[in-house]
Amino acid sequence: MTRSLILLTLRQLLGRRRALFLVVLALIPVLVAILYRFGSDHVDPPPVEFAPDLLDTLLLAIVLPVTALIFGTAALGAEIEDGTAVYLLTKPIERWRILLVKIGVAGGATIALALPTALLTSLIILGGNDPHGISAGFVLGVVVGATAYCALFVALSVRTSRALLIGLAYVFVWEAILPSIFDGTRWVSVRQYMLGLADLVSSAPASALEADLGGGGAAVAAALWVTASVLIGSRLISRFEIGERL
Amino acid sequence: MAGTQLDGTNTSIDVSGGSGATIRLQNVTRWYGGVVAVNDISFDLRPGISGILGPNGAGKSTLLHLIAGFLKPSSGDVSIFGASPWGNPDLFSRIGLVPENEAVYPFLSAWEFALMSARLHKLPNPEKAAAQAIQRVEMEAAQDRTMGGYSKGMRQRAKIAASLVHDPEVLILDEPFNGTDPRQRLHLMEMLRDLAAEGRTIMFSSHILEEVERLAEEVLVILNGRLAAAGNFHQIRRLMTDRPHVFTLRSSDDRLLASDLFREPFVAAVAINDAGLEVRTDDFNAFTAAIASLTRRAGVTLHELRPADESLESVFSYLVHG
Repeated sequence: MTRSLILLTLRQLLGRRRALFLVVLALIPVLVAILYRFGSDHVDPPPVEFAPDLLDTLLLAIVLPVTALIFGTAALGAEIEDGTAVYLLTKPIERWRILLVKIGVAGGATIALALPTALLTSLIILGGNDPHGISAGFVLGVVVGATAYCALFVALSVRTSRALLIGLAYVFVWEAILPSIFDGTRWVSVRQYMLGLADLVSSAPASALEADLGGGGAAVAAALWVTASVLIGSRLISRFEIGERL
Repeated sequence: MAGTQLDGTNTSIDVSGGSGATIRLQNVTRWYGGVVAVNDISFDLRPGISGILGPNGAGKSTLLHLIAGFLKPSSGDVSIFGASPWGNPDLFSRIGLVPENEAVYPFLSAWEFALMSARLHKLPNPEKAAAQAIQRVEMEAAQDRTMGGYSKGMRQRAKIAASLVHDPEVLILDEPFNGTDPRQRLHLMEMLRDLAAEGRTIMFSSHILEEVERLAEEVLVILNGRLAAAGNFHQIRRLMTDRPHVFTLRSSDDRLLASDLFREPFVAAVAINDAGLEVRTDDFNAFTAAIASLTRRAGVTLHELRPADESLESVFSYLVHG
């Protein structure tokens, strides 16, 4: 049963145009890494500073959240929007299970795109020499971040047809601007969780990886975030009413 | 349903007939903000085919969604096999739902769609169940083509196949004949009759009188969210046919024709206005049978004759307001 649900969701998510757009998006950090590798003197900035800076600025701040947003809002929200969700909701399956599968598949697809980007980018920039564990740090960040973003966006898409718009505002206003103004917002920022976890694992220079949260705090906050998103999403899908989405 | 009842003034008709009901609604009301979509409806349904008839926007889909557990009643109770469908997905192992929305997964074939449904129902032999359902709706020839390229009628049949894979005891269909051609419609009707004969409770909605007439043994007429009439279709149909009918006529001499019409016992009233004549008759059949000879006898040429109140809304309005 779960396998059927996973396969159906994968086929929904991996439409040709959507997949092509996201692959191109995921290649951007890799292309910048290639330009750095073959077009600079590797002195200013040195690879150990450029790699975490690029991965934070392009991958964690743009590529990963946008990919998670597109997959997360399409995994269930698109079905609710076009009416095909009825075919899932008229099955004797607990609704929370449907939500979990949707989050899992959207998160998995996001990881499948963002993880190779993280590895390739750091590999190209660092030339395979990674004593600070930068790759490992960002791998952890990508896995946790993709899960946290997708949990949020899938749950959001059950409640509102404007999940994509709200998600964009969250990523590019709340996460990008507000933490520098209001210190407390870092606790409700997936990007800060990713940076905190990357910082926990790697020993990249502080000047290159600016994490506002400690590793332990980021791990706890991320776990709470995912749990809350799943619980709220489960409640929303269990009480889902046709035509009642905002 | 226990019997035929009509109600022109009260908020509902309770046709509850006691025990043995598969589907039971008791004083069910559903509000959307300040708008009441379903208003204090009660009835029982047993195995057989029941049709919900009503104009677009009458509340038919809301009623079906309440029964299928996709809407929570604002007040009152809905039960299927004695259990509330709201928040109870386990009930779907005994219910099949065919939604009105024609959306299907465009990248799946009808076979994949039916097979996926069978697997999601956790059936022991999903391939066999899917094959039987596809065969039942006669989709074998097109079963491997993706549904994105299907006609409306084919999509409808694919949806019905997917809803039948688990052999449900209750089948709920929202406007199932939308988009089907006459041959497909006949086949679907035949199929639904067969399914009902096997002891299932089948409930379908339609805004087309003739569809309900040809298929439903029992009918629920919904108007403005209220149950306007319920019971045996033929009794309700007779009430619809026997109501006063209004016709508009244009002829070469409206005044002469009006004076001749006045003499006929089946003509209740004649009015002359800018559009011609407006004739009110108590006997639809007698009027339509006599009008040609009447004009000939009067030496008048009839330019136009059309019923002024044949819309479904006016028929329903008559049922409610008399």
